This record gives sequence, C-alpha cells and structure tokens, in this order.
Amino acid sequence: MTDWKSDPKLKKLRTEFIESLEDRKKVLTNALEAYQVGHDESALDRIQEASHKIAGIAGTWGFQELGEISELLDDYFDHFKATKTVPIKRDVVDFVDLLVEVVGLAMKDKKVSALQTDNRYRRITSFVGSLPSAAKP
Amino acid sequence: MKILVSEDEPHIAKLIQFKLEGAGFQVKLAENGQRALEALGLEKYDLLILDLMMPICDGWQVLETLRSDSEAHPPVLLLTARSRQQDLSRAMELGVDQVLKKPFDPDELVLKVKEMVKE
Repeated sequence: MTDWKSDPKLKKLRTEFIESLEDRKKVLTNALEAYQVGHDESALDRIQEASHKIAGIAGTWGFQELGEISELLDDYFDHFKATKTVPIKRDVVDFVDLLVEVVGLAMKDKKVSALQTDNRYRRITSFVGSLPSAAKP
Repeated sequence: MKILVSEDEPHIAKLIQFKLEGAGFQVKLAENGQRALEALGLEKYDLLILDLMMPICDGWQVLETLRSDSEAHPPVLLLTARSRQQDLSRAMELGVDQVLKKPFDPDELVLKVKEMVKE
C-alpha cells in the first residue's frame, strides 16, 4: 500500500482516484441497467472492463476490499468467457450491486464493514474459489 | 535513464511517473500501445513498462510487434492485474523480462526498475 499520507503529491493523486470513482460507478450502473433491460450484449464486457480497471489500482490506494471485489468480479466473468457459458442473471445483478456499494463507500473514503457476512460476497468468493485451476485465474 | 510507460489508466500512469521521476528517471507516458510503439520508434529507452489491457493497441499487440521487429528494444516490465498462468507464460514467450502484478506497491516498482536498468 502506498504511504500517501506522508506526501502531498501522493495525497493529491489518491484524491484524484477517489474522484474518478464517480464516473466508474456510473459506468457500472449504466451497464448493469442495460444488461437487465436485455438489449445490450456488450454490457457485461463493460462491467468486466470497469471491474478489471478498479482491481488494478484500488489496493494501491488502500482500498483493499474494493480491489478484492473488483478482482473477484473480473475472475467471475473470465470464467464464463473461457467456458462460453452464460452467468445467472440474479448473480450478476447481486455481485455488481455489491461492487457498486463498495465503490460508493470508497467515494466517501470509507472502509467496508462486515463484508465477510454479506451473502453476495460469500457467494462470489465461493464461486470463484470453486473454479478448477485451469479456468480460474 | 529513460523509461517509457505505456498505461491507459491515468491514475496509475501519473503515480508511476511521480515515483520514477522522484527516483531520478526521465519518464515518458504513452496512453496506449500505438503511442508506445511510436515512441519506441523515435527514441531509445532503457526500459518499457507495459500494461496489457489498453485501448486501440493492447500490450499483447505491442509485444508481438516488438518480437517481430529486428530492431533492438528495451527490456520490458509488464504490469498486469491478470494472474492467470497462461497469460504470464504467454507474456514470457513474447519477451517480457519481468512481471509486476497490479495493484502494485510503488516502492517495489521503483526497486524493480532500478534492478532492471542495472542489468
């Protein structure tokens, strides 16, 4: 984790990342809405891309849970791409909702509490954790 | 020492630039693989830090282009959020010298860069 508190320039970069979360949240919620309506085949790709990008940076700025959930969602979609199968819609909605909630907390620079007891978190970690090693990143 | 950083995520690119310039390196940013290949064609760099997932021309395309080009190119440090063994193996086959997984510790990045430019 970056020691951003000790350097004004790093603090500024971290703030810029937090500010960027608003747009990232919009991308996720708009894509989820398009997916739920059912007319946009690329919606899941947009969700995965957004998740992947967040996964690549959140942890650097101290948002470990945000990074973890983003990575789980990225891995989740990778599995369906690799196996050419389709995820269950309810799961997609629940998992993306979870990510959007955690993004919302990060926008206020807040930590997630009681994630381990969140049913959505448990389901996605269980799913990704159960993947065979060839399919699982 | 000149480092070319090919990364489309501005929050990562600026962080890398800040840390490496603080460590005494000159840093050029390229927001996609196409810009990176253009920059490599214009100047000599001591290291290429390369992201995989970029628009227009991704890291895979950059690596394949560099491999097929007879001109010497700098060593490559791959930055990726991907951890699948098949991706890492493919990257090594395409000439990547080192891999740093995202999210990375910027101080670790600086150490790795210093090691790689010394070689």
